[in-house]
Amino acid sequence: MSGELEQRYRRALSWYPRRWRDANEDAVVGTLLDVADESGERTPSKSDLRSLRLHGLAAHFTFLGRILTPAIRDRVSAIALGTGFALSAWAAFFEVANARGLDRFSSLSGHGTATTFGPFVSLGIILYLTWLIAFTTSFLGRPWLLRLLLVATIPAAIVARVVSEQLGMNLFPSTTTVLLLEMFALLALLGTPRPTARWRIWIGLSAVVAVALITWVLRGTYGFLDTGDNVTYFGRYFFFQAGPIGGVIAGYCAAGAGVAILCLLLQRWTWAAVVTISMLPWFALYLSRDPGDFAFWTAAAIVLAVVAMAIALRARGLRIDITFTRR
Amino acid sequence: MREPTFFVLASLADGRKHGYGIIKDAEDLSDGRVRLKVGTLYAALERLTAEGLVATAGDEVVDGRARRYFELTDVGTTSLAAEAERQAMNAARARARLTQRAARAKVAAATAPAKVATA
Repeated sequence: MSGELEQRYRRALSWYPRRWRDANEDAVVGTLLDVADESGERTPSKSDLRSLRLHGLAAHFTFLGRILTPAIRDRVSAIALGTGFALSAWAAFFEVANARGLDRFSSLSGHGTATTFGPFVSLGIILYLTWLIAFTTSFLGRPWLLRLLLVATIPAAIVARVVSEQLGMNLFPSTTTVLLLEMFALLALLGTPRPTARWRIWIGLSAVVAVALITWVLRGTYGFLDTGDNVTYFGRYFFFQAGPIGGVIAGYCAAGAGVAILCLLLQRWTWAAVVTISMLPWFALYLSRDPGDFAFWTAAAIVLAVVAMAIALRARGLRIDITFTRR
Repeated sequence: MREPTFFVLASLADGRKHGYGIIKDAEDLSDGRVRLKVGTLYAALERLTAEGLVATAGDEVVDGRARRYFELTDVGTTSLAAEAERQAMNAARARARLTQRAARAKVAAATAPAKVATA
């Protein structure tokens, strides 16, 4: 009977990471059997099994937390915050600019009155303003307020998208924009922003880079601001443009992957992880646009696997030394 | 410091113990209020070990069962002492307030006008 009980406990422990089990399984099973002897239990209680499963699952996250050090999480958070800010600033600008264009389009095309949200195209402005306030808050040294606002952007994104569509607004935040901002919010929540000069520099730098990137990506939308009487430009908004954006994002992902590999070669482990994790929303964006791109999938999987393996080895205290010798 | 953590550390204060020993001791020390699940205990011990409050103190096999012993580190001893001191101060403050309250109630009862029964 004891053998059967032991086997059931060992099966329950399979919820723990293998590494944890190698180190602790025998001791834990010994304790479980001691407790069962004392209470006279012949089968594991449901509460014991539930406790083991929950702690087993939690142990996976503990291991993940050990790999993702505060240095990595804080930098990823800074980059995500800056990028989310840049995207929101751009989107907020278009909320106003497109509302004007929408009126003109409606009158030119005879579609009647456009449905807008006051001077804005849609309720998306609520999401973008929340992001802008969150970014500003990061400079005030109130991390709890920043986290609260970042969490608030997640339901705000869903409300902005769904309600704008339900109210029949002619334009609303695209699913891509909403998902990107949600991914940036989650990445920004990974770290604990610290109001130091260095932290501000990283936020500012990442915001500038993101603004430059998004400006480049959306360069075609400049045409929208001055459509004149040409209504065919209408609707070329954000990531709706099919042509050049896919290539630009793929190039951006490739550049990010290159930087991550370079960081690995230079043994800048932290930065390799930071760059790779920061690129995840862009990888996801590209793959959602072109899920059949086998070459991209393969390249992305290889880069992610190499970086993840290197970081995991590093977390376990192992390292790969690369030395260059002159022949 | 949460109560289970406090009792795990308190259990180890008088020497090294294995998992089952800690569970029994924590239950005794808390008058039966803290009954640690094995999963909870080992999660707590892992966290306390990572924080340097507890260290492993050897493995043994008794009657075919593995037993891992744990002991309090110097940092753990200091942390437990600080927490015990904090709890003692909290208790002392609460007792002082209760004493004041009882005294006020006594004065109020003594100075209150006697109630006159009305028909």
